[in-house]
Amino acid sequence: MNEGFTIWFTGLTGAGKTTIARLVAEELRRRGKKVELLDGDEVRKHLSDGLGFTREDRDKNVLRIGYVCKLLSRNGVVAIGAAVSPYRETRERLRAELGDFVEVYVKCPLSVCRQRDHKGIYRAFEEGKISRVSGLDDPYEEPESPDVVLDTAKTTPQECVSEVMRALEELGYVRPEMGEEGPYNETEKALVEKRLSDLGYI
Amino acid sequence: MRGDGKRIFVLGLDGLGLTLMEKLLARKVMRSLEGLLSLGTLREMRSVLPTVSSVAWASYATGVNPGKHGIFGFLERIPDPFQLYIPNGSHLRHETIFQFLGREGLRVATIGVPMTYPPRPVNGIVVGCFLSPSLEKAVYPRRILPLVRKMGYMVDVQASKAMEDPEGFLAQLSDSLDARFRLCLHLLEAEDWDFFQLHVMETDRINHFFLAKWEDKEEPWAEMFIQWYRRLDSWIEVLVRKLIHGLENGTTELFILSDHGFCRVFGEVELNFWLRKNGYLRLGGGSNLASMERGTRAYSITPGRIYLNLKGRETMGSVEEGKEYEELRSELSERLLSVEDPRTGQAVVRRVYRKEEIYSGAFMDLAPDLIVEPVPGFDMKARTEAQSVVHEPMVTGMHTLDDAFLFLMPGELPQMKLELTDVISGIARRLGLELRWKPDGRNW
Repeated sequence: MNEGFTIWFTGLTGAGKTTIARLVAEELRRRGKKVELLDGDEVRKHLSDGLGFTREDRDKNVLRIGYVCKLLSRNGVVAIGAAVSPYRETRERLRAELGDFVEVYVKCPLSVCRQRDHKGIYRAFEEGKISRVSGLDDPYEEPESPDVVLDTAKTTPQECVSEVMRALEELGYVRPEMGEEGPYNETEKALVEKRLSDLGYI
Repeated sequence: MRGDGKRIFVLGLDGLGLTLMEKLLARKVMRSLEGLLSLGTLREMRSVLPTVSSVAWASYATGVNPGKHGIFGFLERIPDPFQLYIPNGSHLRHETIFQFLGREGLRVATIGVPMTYPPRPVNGIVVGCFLSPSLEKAVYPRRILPLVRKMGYMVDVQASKAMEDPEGFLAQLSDSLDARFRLCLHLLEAEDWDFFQLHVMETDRINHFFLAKWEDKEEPWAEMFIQWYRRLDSWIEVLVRKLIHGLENGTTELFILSDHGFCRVFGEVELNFWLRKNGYLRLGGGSNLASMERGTRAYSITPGRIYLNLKGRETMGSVEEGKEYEELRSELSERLLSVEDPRTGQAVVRRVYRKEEIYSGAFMDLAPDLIVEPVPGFDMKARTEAQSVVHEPMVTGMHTLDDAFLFLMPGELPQMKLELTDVISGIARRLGLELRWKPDGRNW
């Protein structure tokens, strides 16, 4: 079975996409997966250099990230995309094109995002230096049926990672960890062996 | 994603062969089942080799052969350094129908299906199989544990009781069956589900120990055997009543299947004894397979799996790849076909397969080099301490490759003898989905 798939983090600027995506990437690597994180802001510096924030440019950026995710995931890599990706239609297009696509909605009230404002985007908007900010003068269309919803105003990043991992396990993309003793400790192993032996199976 | 609201219920009756079922129907032991069967289509189905529940249900749930899902028996070996272990659900290397349906957004519930321990998280509920050491470790999600406990659910009955305390064993089979159905009926009401599979393991257990007694009319066991099947029939009636609305309006479809047939055992065939006697297997002081010595050329693991002691693969491999390997496979195949029951002169081996004849896929390296299909009635064992090639059986009922069955209502099954790997493409299609992988089984 190809182990590749795409996890797509969508949400407002400041909602916590990059933070959680990095932690999920770390966790997946710890579990032996090959992982590549494509962060929207980073990609804009390279693959999408020169693109602005019109709907057309935003879509181009998202579709380019999606395309790279597709190439990576078909080669057994877990590709993680983290971008505002504000338009539902574009995200649905990604889902259709990528197939193995897990959409994670990083949900956070605009007021909290504005308070966080690590990148200074909201302040720059207030000062009139930039426009076309999702959730303010540009729409952010919430996902209708995301695979995971994370409420980052109420849950810690670590809890969010657990939620994402649980969903990946439920969806069959990642095997659950069995703990140190695995499926059986010594006593349990003896018990199951006896059960099978009594039936003449082993 | 799909949205037609169709649901599927699968009732697995482990080891209830078609022949036995027909005999029970003819004797009016299972009237509810008889009535039900008249409303749908029934086909004989072929099981898998080796014919054991772990391999069979893994093949059913994935739609692919063991070469692709990696389960070849209840015991598996690591060739170097030699070690034996019990494969469980964590060794199942292929996506299952349960995982697939969950991923497609459907709610899934499974109870007791072999190879579902440890329970893989799923979009729904899993009560793991009899490979689970405890109820606590069998359930997903954990929230259902109190309910499962309250219902008196058992992961398995105590087979050792079958000989020590047969009456107590039969009572436990009834208790276990009751708990299974109680839990199922509760979850049918309490949970959202699109796909539900209830697995009855007790049919296999009762057949192992009481089928021969019933055939021999050995009382009181023969009557108790019949009574137990009547009890199963009553539960089937209750279940169908619960599903009847959906079955009648076509929103629910019911599959009933068994994973293999059953027959009485005339003799247990000790392949490791035969291999030792004929100079293929040499054991050191430990008298178990871990003590195999350098001169060993082949060894066996239950049931009917033969591994050559291949150089570069096994700890002290002695058989060269290529010509020597092929010649030894031919020699063993030929000689095994002539093994007889010394008591009667009857042949005990129906056919010997090279692994590539019946398996294909990424996990062929785990596959035995030869697979022995027994003549029904001769159970292939591999005890290293055995003292004869064929001896009286410890357990009186054994699995058969043929004689499993599949029933569907409403709806039509294809007009052919089915394979276990055929089933899930039909399930997926009825739910408006196409599997994401190409099953070995046929699409219908």
